[in-house]
Amino acid sequence: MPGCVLVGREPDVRALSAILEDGGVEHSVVERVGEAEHVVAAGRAEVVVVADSTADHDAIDRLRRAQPERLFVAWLPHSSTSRAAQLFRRGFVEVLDATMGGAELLARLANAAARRPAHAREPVRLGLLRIDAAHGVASWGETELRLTRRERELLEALAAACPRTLRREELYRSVWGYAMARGDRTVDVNVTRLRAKLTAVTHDVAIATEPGVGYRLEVPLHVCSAAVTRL
Amino acid sequence: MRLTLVPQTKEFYGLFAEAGDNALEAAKLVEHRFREHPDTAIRQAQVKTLEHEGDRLTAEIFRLLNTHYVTPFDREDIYGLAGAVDTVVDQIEAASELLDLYRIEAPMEQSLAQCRVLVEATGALAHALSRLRGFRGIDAHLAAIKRCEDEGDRIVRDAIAALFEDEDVSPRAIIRWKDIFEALEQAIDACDTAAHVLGNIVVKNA
Repeated sequence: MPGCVLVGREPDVRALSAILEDGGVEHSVVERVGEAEHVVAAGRAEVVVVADSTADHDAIDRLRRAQPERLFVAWLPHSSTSRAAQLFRRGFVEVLDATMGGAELLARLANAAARRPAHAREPVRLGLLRIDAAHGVASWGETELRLTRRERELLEALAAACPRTLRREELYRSVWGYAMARGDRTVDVNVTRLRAKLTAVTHDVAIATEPGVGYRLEVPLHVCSAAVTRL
Repeated sequence: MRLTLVPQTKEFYGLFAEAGDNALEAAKLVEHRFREHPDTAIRQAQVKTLEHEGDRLTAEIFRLLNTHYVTPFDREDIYGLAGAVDTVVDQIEAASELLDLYRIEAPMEQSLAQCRVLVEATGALAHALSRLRGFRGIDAHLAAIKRCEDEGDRIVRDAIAALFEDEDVSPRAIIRWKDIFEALEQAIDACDTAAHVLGNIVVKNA
């Protein structure tokens, strides 16, 4: 279980802090988002747990944009399904509340941590293609590819596997973090969009379909003389 | 309110035929919307417009019932049939609305199969409703609707099973898609219910 930083005031975060302590989860408690930024920047926390009473939502959103590879989890001192729905819509990957027992809280945190794409940490380069998940950008040479987060993560997974074909189920697991239900066309729809955006910029890189299996990235040798490089 | 003794059966038949066509159009639109989602040009508002048209046609049939002494078949049957056809369009619209409500990222194959069955069922219903006068040639269409309902049952069972094949499927995906599969199934079932009502009318009047 990666280290956590807990953002919130006493007594809102006391119960959660005690549970993390009992579960042996390394964590620190800070009152302000600015302090959490320092903890995250120092590499002492992969997971940021934000108490719902933390008022500075703009600062939290800024931190999330600046640290897209970190996990942002919300903590509700009082259970509220409508508030939880709002927090999910704002981009929190998990919402914990005080009605959950210690074991459930720790399991949910561990589960959220496991959903983090393993390859989302370092930039990937394949010829002129560069995908920097940490900063949320992908580019072809000097041209920035305007991709959504899902499209960027798909491209990153394909580039990391190049020239191997990735099954749809592998891609779904890698990008969405869950098992793909049979019949789900989410990967196909996103690949179609990604393919259109790539084609608009270059014809030197293409996403090939292997019917009934999945997709692979095709990059000509003159463009890509070396294998994938992690910077 | 003016009550007329002169039979105006033509209007009733015409309105039922229009209601059937409207249900078919709604099903086609929703099938298109699901197939092309999320890049479709078809908006939920267009489906809603057809749902309103269904309400208007139903209200018009009820108005005729209240102003005409002589009706082409039993009043209760006309009420029942108009309501059943209206329910088909309501259920189609409700299923379509879930695409937006649940922010669906992409369709599932099984929902597309359900939509195709729905178009076939509403097509058969529309044909049956267009043949109300004389009640001839309806049975084959009612049998087709029954086949669609059986096929719909098979698809929805398979679709829900697909959500639970792997325990690591996202719970949110399960909630969303189970609701959508069931909503589309209810629309197909509504066609079958309308076919039952129509079948009883045929037995009584043919």
